[in-house]
Amino acid sequence: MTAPAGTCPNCGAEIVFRWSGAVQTTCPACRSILVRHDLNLEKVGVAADVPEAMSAIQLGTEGSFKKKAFTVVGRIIYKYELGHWNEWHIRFTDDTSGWLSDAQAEYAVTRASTQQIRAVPGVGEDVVIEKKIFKAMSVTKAAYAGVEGELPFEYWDKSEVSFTDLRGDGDTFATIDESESPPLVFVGEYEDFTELRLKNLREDVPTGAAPQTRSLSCASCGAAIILRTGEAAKTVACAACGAVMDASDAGLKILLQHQARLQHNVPQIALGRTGQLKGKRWTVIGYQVRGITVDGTDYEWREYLLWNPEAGFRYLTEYDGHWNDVNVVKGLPKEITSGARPAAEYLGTRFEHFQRAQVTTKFVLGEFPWEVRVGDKVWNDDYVAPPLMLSRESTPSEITWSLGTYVTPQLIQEAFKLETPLPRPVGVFANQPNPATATSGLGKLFVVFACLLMGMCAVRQATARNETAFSGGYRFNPATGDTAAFVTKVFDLKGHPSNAEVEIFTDLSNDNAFFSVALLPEGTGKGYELGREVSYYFGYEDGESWTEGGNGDRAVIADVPPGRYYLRIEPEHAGTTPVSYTVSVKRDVPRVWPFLAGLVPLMLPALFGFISKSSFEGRRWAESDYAPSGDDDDDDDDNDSE
Amino acid sequence: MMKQHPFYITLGVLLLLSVAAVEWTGWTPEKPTEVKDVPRTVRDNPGSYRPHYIYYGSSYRRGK
Repeated sequence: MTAPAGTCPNCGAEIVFRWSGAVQTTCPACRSILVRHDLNLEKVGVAADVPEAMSAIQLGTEGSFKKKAFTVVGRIIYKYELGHWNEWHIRFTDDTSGWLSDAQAEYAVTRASTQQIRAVPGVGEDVVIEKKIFKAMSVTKAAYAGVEGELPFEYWDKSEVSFTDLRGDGDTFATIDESESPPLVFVGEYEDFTELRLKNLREDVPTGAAPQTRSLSCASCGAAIILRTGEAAKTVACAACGAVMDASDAGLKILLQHQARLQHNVPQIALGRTGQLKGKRWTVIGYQVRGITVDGTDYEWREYLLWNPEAGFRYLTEYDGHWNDVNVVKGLPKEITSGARPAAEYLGTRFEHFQRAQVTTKFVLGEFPWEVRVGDKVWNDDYVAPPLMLSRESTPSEITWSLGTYVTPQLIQEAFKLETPLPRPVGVFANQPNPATATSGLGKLFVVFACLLMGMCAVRQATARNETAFSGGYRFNPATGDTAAFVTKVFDLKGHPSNAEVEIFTDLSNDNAFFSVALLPEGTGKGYELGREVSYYFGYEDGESWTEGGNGDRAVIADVPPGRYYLRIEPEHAGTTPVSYTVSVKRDVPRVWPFLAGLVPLMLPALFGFISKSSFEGRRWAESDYAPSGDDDDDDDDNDSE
Repeated sequence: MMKQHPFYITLGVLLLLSVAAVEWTGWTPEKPTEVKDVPRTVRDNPGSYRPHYIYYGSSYRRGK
């Protein structure tokens, strides 16, 4: 590292360059803008007063990016429609340089790219820079507002410059700067304030402690107004009269005299209230009501703008008691199609398109670091992957992606220590987690158990003894008048204690008979008795044939120990015609019904979960652009807290 | 998935064991009348045995 030095040609003060590649610097004593020609310094102008900014970064601030230390050596300040931002020129320890962009507490580190751009992409168009795809997200017309310190090029007489911001995968970021021809390209990444590990910051600008506030009076009604974001505030709306004013104007120029429905739009979290969310303390600084009109029906929701000096801004949104914690996305979600529907992918999560609508700002209160106007319109596309919701807001000059996470009213209540309980959610919200998700996976488990049962059934069918232990044919003639009871020969029932199936088959035709059958042990022990009536009738009546009963029957006796048995059979028949019949005994007969019966209790929880989940999803999607025809929003009276 | 649904897993395992036991023993909801101490004379004189099921012409019912 070299540290060339010289003297200011205007005042003689010593000029020390912290970065050997610096082309321009400002004299710390007289604010002359000096351009370096080898060792000579030429005064080319005088730096304008640097606008006050809420940034804690200053010349000499040290930090690190990707484990490489840097020092802030210069600064360009730009003013644009929504305020101003800083481009801090940073020198790394390897004597290379880059830029630390600092806009509304959003930080990005970039380096100049050698790639040249043939045509500057329009908003929404893709461009390949250093073999990576970037999408143009916004075009900003900015005006030079001041310089400080060392810069790698002469930059003191610029007027309006056009910047195109681009986003790529992950946190990658690029800017096309049209101050030169061909345009300059810078490529880098977004970085969190804490990750930059900045030291030697301005002590008069808070970086996480109590916010710096400004007290003003409403230009319309005189009520006290507190600007909690200090210089960052661009628009402020008086909570007393609803007048919307330009916060960057010293006299609070009135942009909108009053807003209708002020009395109906009382924020549930008061402006200025602080709360602990995601480990940081956030202050509610702004409140707006936005809405869409779908099929002639107006839907409105409320948005709370939260601010933390280190982490920047985030939103809380509320619709019918459903809350979302929303952050602007730094990376670039990938827009894809899922079947015939649009979808998006971001950080490995797939989001299904839910709704596209034009959003109108209906009402604002408090302060905003950008210009907010009642009547502002943007196109909004919501993509859902509960509990997440990815939203794409687009205007002709800007595309903004934000990621919302569904949170319970209880969480908001506790975070902001609200005295009044927040209303319970009504209906089903787009990214509300499905309570039946707890049953997801039951279907797969059911399939596993069903397969096991069917496997067991197959094994049983293949390995069961299923043998005929006895079979005999007989004829009973009721006309003889003798007792019909008789016993069979002794037979063996083998194997483990299992079932024995007794089957009777007769030649009955439009007749019935009764069989008293006893399976008795040859020796001592337990016997089993059955009474079976066999009845078989059929005929032809009114042009149709009919049958009733059958000419056979069977009965199963469970858990019969192995041993030697015989049957005592006593047929009875009310008629006079002889009855021929066979009786057989089968041992260890496999069955299917126990396995099918086992499926039922297994299936019920999975089925219940599936029905509950489907019902909830049906109600969710009934509110979307993809609602089945005929669905209306008739569930608004239902309470569905998470 | 296994850790998510311990009760369902328990239910499933118990059901598998129950089905196996039912099928192994041949259990059936149909209950025949069990008779103990069957006299050895039945084989010699089957008519002397009084069964529990008696036919009454058009229907039968348990006797005794």
